[in-house]
Formats: sequence, C-alpha cells, structure tokens
Amino acid sequence: MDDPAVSRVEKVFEEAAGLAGEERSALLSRECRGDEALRNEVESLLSEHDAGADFLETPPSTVGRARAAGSLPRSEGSAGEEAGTRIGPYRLLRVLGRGGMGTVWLARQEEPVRREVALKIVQGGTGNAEVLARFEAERQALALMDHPNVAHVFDGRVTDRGRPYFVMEYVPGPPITEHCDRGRLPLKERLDLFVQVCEAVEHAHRKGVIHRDLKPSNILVADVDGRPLPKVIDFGVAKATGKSLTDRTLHTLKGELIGTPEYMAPEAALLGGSAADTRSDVYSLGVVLYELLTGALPFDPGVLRSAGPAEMWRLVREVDPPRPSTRLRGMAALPPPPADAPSGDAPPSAPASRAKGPEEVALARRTNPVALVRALRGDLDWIVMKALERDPERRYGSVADLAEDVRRHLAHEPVSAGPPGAGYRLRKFVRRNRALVAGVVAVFVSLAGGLVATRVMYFRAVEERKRTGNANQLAQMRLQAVLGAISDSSGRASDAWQLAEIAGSARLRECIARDAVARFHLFGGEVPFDPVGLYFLGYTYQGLGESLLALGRTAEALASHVTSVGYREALVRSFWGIPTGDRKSGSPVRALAVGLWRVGDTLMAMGRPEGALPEYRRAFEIHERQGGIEPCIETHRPVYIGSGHRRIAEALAAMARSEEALPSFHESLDLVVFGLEIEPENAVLQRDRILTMSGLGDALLATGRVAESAIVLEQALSFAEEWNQAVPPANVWERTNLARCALSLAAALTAEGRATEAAAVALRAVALAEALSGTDPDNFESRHLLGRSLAELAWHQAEAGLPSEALATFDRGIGHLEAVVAKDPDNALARRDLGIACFRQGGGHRARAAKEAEGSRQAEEWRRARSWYERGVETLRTLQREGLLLAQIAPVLGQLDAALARCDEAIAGFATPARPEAAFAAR
Amino acid sequence: MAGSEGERVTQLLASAAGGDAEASSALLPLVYTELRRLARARLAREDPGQTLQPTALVHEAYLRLVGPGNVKWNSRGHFFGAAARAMRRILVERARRKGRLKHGGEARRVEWDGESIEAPSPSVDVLSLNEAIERLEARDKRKSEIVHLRFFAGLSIKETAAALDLSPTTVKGEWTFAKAWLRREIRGIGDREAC
Repeated sequence: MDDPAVSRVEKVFEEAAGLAGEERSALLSRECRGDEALRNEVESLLSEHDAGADFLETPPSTVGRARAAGSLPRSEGSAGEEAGTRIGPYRLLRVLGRGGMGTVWLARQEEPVRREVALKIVQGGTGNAEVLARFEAERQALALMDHPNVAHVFDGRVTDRGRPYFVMEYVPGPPITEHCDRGRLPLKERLDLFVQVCEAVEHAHRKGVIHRDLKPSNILVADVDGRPLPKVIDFGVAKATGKSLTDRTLHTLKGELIGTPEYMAPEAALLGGSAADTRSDVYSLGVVLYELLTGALPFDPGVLRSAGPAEMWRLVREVDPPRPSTRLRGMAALPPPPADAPSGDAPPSAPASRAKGPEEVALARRTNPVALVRALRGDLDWIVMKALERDPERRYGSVADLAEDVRRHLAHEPVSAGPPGAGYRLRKFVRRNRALVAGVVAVFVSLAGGLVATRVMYFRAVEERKRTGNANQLAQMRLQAVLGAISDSSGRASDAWQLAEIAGSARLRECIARDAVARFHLFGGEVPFDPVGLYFLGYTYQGLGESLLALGRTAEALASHVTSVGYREALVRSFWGIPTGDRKSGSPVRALAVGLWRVGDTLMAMGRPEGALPEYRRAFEIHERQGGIEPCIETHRPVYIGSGHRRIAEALAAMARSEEALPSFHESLDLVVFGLEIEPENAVLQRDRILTMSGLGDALLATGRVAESAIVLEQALSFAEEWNQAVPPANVWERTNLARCALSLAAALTAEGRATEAAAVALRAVALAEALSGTDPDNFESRHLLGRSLAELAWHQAEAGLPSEALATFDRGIGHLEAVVAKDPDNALARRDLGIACFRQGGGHRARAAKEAEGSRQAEEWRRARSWYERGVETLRTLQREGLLLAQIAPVLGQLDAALARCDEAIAGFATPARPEAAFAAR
Repeated sequence: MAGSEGERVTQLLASAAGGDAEASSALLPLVYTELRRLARARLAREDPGQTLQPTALVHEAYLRLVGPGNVKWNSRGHFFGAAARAMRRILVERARRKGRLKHGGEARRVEWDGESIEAPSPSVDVLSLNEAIERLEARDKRKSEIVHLRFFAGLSIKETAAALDLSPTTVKGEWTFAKAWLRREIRGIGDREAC
C-alpha cells in the first residue's frame, strides 16, 4: 500500500492497536486531528481488531514456542558484576542465564589459553568456604570425566568479593527441550538425543559423580558441524552448592517458592542432597524425558505452586503423575486460552504457564495428537513411569538401564519396563517382522502361556485382598484389571486391524483377536464392561470374524460377527443412555451398522442372501438416520449410503432379482462418483466404485443387457487396475476385487461372443489369484478365488475353441474348489462355483464328443460329460435341499437335467449301434 | 519418501533462493500433489474419516519433500510460500465442492483414541476469505504473503519474518493490520450476500 494516505492509516492503526481505553483515544485524537476520514478508517479497522482476537489465529502455529533464551535479561548483571568486569583471568562478556543459585556469565579467558567459558557466580554469600571445600573434594572425580556429552568444569574459585564461582566449558546452544521444539523434532530424534544425555550421565556415574540437578536448562544442545550435540553442564556444581540449595528450598517453604523442584526426585527434595544417589538422577532424567515427549511436566508447576507447600510435598510424595499418554489426552479437556489473550504472535509471547493444546504439542513433534498418544502408549509410558517411581528401589537401577530401554524401544524390541505379557512380546515381534507375520505358531503357544500367568496372578491378588477384607480396594483392583485388560487388548485388536489387508496375515489376525477376546473375558462376569470395553470388543470380534472367513471357517465367522453386533448394540444403548453423551458423535452407531454389514456379507458367502437383505436394510436405516444427526462430513454419505445401496443390490441380485437390483446399483454408483469428485483419493470410495460397477455389470448381464454390461465392466476393470497401482502390492482386498472384476468382464465378453478376449481377461484373474493364494496358503478366500478363476478360464477357453487348453485349465482349478468345499462346507458360494464348474466341464466333454469322428471315443466323451453333469447336479441339489441360493441354482439345475437327458439319449444310442443318428443328433 | 520429487523440490528451492522466479512457481504443482497424496494416505477403510489440520499437512509435506536437513530459512520460505498457496487452493476447492453438496458450516471431526471428538471448526468461511485475500493481494502483495504463511502454512511471526526477510516487528504489525482489514472485508461480503 504505497499510497501515503493508506500507509498513514496503517501506521496509526498499528500504534493504536497496542493501546486501549483512554490511551488509545488520546492517540487517535492526536494523530487524526482534522482528518475525519483517517479517524473513521482507523476506528473501523480497530473495531475489527478488537472483536476478532481469534480471527485467523486457528489453526495456530507452535513454532519456537519454548521459553526463549531472549526472555532472560541480557545486559544487567547481578550486584557487583557487570560486563567487562575482570574476575581472576576471566573477563565477563554478557549474562547467559540466571537461576536461583546465581548468575551465569559468558566470559573470556585470556591466560593460559584464550577461550570462551561459562562462569557461574554463586549468590548468597553464606558457607562459601564449604562450597569450595566440597568442590575441591569432587575435583579429582570431575577431572576424570571425559565424554563428548559432558561439559567440562574447569575450575572453582572465589571472587574478590568472596563469592564462589565455577568455570565451565561454554556450550552455545539452547536447552534440550527448546532445541527439540524449535526444530520440531519428531519423537525418534528426541529419543536419540535423550539416549546421548543418558550416556553422559552414566559416564559420570561410573566416575563417581552424581549430577543432582538435571533439568533441561542444564542439558544444552550445541550445533557441531551441523549436527546437534547435547551436553550436560554443571556436573559437580550442585553437590558443591548442595547445602545452600537445600537451605534455600527449605527456607522458601515458608514463603514464596523460588525454583520449583519439578525435576528433583522425591527423596532428594525431601531429605536434601545427602539422600541423592544415581537413582535420583534417573528420576530427573525421567522428568526430562516426560517433558520431551509431552511438552509438559509430570506435575503441573501451576498446580504445585498454587497448592501451597504442604500440599505440594504431599503430591510429590504420594501421587503418581499421569502417564505421558494420559497427560496428553488430558490436555484436550483444558479450556481454551481466554479470548482476550494477546493475539499477535500468540505462541511465542504466551506466558510459559499457558497449557499447550495437544495439537500444538503434536505439531512440535511433526505428528498429530492421535498418532502421538498412540506412540506414547505402551513402551514410552512404561519407561517414563518406571523412571519416575517414587520409591528409588522400583526405579531403573541405573541410567544405563533407562537408556537401554529407550534404545530397545527404538529398535522395536520389548522393553524391561513393559508388562511381562506374551501379547506384548507378540506385538513387538510383529513390528520387527512385518514381512514374516505368517510364522506364528510358536507365538500362539506363548500367548496361551502368558494368559494363564496373568490369570493366576490376578486371582492370587484377589485372594489376598479378600483376606485383608478391604472391599473397596478389591473393587478398585478389579476395575483396574479390567481397564488394563481393555487397553492391552485394544492394542492387540488394532494390531490385528492393521494387518487385515496384508497377505499372509489371516492366521496371525485370528491369534491376535482370540488373545484380545480372551483377555476381556478373563475378567468378565466380575465387572460390567464399560463403554470403551464394549467398543473394542465390537472391533475385536469383527476382526476375528474377518480372519475366520479368510481361514475358511465361515460358520464361526458368522458367530463372531453376530457377537460383535451384540456388543455394539449394547454400546449404542449405553451410549445413548449417557445424558451428557455427545449424540452427534456417530462412531459407535456407525460401527454397529458396519457390524451388520459384516453379518450380511457372511450370510451372502453362506448362500443366504434373503438373510443378508434385512441386515443390510437395517444397516442402511442406521446410516441414513445417523447422517441426519451427525455433523456433515462430505464423504460420509457416499461411503455409507453408497455402500448400503450396493449391498442391498448385491443381495437382490443373489436372489435372482437383478432387475430390482439395478436401481440400487445406480444409486450407489451416483453417490460414489459424487464422493470421488470431492475426494478423488478416498480409498473406501475407490474400492466402492470398483465393487459397485462390478455388481452393476453382473446385474446387467443377468438381465440380458450384454453389450451394456461389457462396457460397464470394461470401465470397472480399468478403474480397478489403476487403483491397484496406487495401493501396496500386498493388499489382499484390492487384489481380490480386481480379480473378481476381471472374471465378471470375462463372462460378459463371452456372452457377447468375444470368448478369446474373455480368456485373456480371465487369465489376469488367474495370475492375481495364484499370487494371493501362494502368499497365504491358509487363506481359503484366496484359494476359492483361484479355483473359480481357473474354472472360468477353462470355460472361456472352451468357448474360444480351445478344448484341450480348457480341459487342462479345468483340471488345475477343480482341485482348489474341491479343497475349499471340503474345508468349509458352509461356504455355499464355493459349492455353487464347484457345481457350475462341473456343469461347464460336462459341456466341454460334450463338445469334444461332437468333434470326435470315431464312435467309441464319442461314447467315452459322452460318458465323461455325463459323470460331470451328475456331479454338478449332486452338488447343486444338496444346496437346493439346504435351501441355499435357490433362485440362482434353479435354472442351472433345469439345464443340467436337460443335459443329463441328452447324455443318456446319446449313450443309449451308442449302446445300440443300429441307431447311429442319435450321435449325430447330439450335434 | 522424498525420492526424486524430494530432490526436485530441493533443487527448485535452491534455484528459487537464487532468485529464479520460475523455480518458485514450479514448486506449487509439486507441493500441491504431495499435499493431496498425503491427505489420501490418511483415509482409512470404513471407519469415520479423520481430517488433518491443514498446517500439520503442510509441515508433513515439508518433511517428506525437503527433509529435516539444514535448509536455510529463505529457502524454506519459498517452500512454505508454495505450500500455503497449495493449501489455500485445496481448501477453496473443498469448500466449493462442499458448497455444492450442502449449505452449512464446515464441521470437522477427528478420531480421538476410539472416541470421536469434534475439533473446533474454523470460524472462517474459506470462500469469503479467499475472495478477501485476492483483494488484499491486489492492494498489498506483502501483506497477502504474510497472511498465507501465517494462516495457511501455520508459520509463527518469527518464521514468517525469516521467510520474507523482514523484521518480526514489521510482520507482526502488518499481520495485525491485515487481519483487521480482511475481517472487515469478509463481513462486507457477508452483508452483500445477505441482501
């Protein structure tokens, strides 16, 4: 805004914005005298400024929020010293920092070497001789320390005015917490730095030096050739000044607290420096780690301060701080900063005590709150809590042990602070061996062992409590046990969840889910499940059902999905029963509907579309209702209602009501296409589009719209191929859908008389199914797909005039289908596919018979055809007797009966050579 | 994940820092694509989706494309400038589509440890803001740049200052002014629409 009038507006505005009340009016009167236009403009902008304190301030940034070193006074020294003052061989340059104990100066040493050093001048003036005596005693040990992460302490002396001072290596860099936040270091890098700090402290411990005052301002991070190098400063200083420090702390107990003991181990804080040992340093490092992870201290300094000394000591002595992950979650509940907070550069200028929001904390770690909580839960929670044990005996025995656990966590190995549970070890195993998840039998055995141990421990504890007769404690304990089991299991369940789409994971998923279920039930019956438990039980049983379906245990899968729905119904009931419950939050309600989908999907696999339809309809109603209540998320309707329409259509089509199914397929496709317009990369919608178009194509074919069907399916296949490029190659679902889509297209092409093309397309399905089945031999869904693909390829080859190839292909396919049917008689679709394959194979032999010139070979082919037809009839009749897939198989059975009759006729003709025309008639 | 795109971005940043205006504009499509890709990677199965904070996405994109190395701030400034514009475009596109879908305020939700909580919805209508920023840009490019970096890329005053090679005081002053100006402008748009 180069216009001088405009820049004048700006100038006055900026000045006035920083003022309020009369000061502002005075300024405006002064600056705008005689210029009403200027005044009006500025006042109009000021009213916007005043009313819109938050405007454009969310989402806020968190950069450089750490208390900056700049907040320390730079120029003014403590009484007596100022920049330029000479102390011994040192010349003071500027103040680096100021603590309760004294002032730290940057100083230059002239003799015997020229270097910059940090000079800490102790304030107070009492016990100076003692301070120096203690320092002398420690001096030998300090001199022995030689570690890149330990800052040297060169000297300890007394100033001319009789004040002790220490000369240390100058570390140009911010405290570790500030360094991490400023650079937005992710957890891993923070932990790497922390491990180095531990190594430094461990080194000192081995030399017999305890730090006693570890805190971020004593752990500085220097930049050495572009790499961060943490250095622990002040070794030996705390001990030397220990007594006066304790005096000070005790003294201030009566009045205002100077320098909170947030980083001090309880025993050191309570009993003074003499009680401190290496484990006190472990505690302090635990607090530092806590802060690095969560951006907060275990005990809120604000709470500590306002609690008063007695309450403060009680807190430190008796109360366990919240676990890091809990602490982070708790931040969400904090009220937002008041609206009148300074609006400009809010993060840096906010007071240090302002509670950070989880978003802010997560952002400084380059992640989001959900992921951060997840990352903290488990190992890091345990490690920190073990370091922060109030009883030194229960802490890590040494800093080396603490460091080792952090290292193990980084390497995905079990940590010593973790629970002894086998499930935990399994999780670690899975993390380390993502690629080898199939080899799990041994792990499964150890799972069972761990479970028994947990149970024994639990009941032993219960017995003990019963003897001591504290009913309240007993109830408390049970609740703890259940919550523990739930959080433990939820980790398990989500592991299974993450694996769901990975080839080879079926059996492992089952193990994990079963273990999770067992853990829930271990304590079931004693304590009612809380909503969180119900939520995870729902998910766990859903995961179990999915894995069982893949493993070819369809009936068990159905039971599992029904159980999942049961828990979800209970949850929704309790959820709606909570008066303060957020009704708009749809997660449990949606989950219930997803559970109903799974029940329906399984019923479909069992050949009971008429059973699946009401489940789908109910799920549809739930989604429809929820969509009206919930806050609008643009892709929800396409995802939920779109899939809902599709599933209903699929059920109708399976009941041979394809004509009715068509409108629903179209509804679904419209929604999905619309959703993809909003979010082209939405994985669910991408998948739904492929499934919907496949189903639509099938239905078009079934209703005789052959050309239309081929067009839709051709397009579906190209979408599917494209989408499969975008997902990881190990993704079972996407590959399966792609193969199924190819089979649908092949069928349409053959119906159009393009059998040669159809065979090529079906070959693609075979290749995909072979890869899937090869990766996961336990996955019977994949095996079914392979058998069906081969059988259909054989059919297309036969139609394309390649009878020998067709027979060879069929021989490969039939075995797979038979194996699936033998393993899983509840899989009606596999039985249907087997029956149809037999029917087509019969047709193949019949065609060969027609081509054979020689009578006896003709007769042989007729007999083979007949025996395949018979098997087909037998297979499909059994389905019919069980009332499965009636509408679908009835016409096939009709054709089979006719075909059998033709066979009998032809064979009879060969039996009486007098009637050779019978053989000709077969053509 | 940086890969060849990462290398390309690093090259472009170096050229942009050297004053190559074309390199600067070539950044935008790369960053835009990466942001969309990241957003896609967030979507999960049939569970209710979670929406990321735009600024978190921008920083993640930075991390993926540039990495945590010691890129100088004026180079970073080019990146965040491009990212802020890309994010603005994405937000505007979404808002437009959404406008077609349904009239109403933007509501977002994140999955929070199994429960769903609602994130505070931004009190700003993206489309009006977009319009207002266009007008601001026509009057004062620098202020519009500051708004981009602060709001769409989530940079602090200090970072914005470093990125634009200005003093923090200047940035803070201009930011305060730009906010008041934009707010008035947006309310003007609202009033017009209400008529």
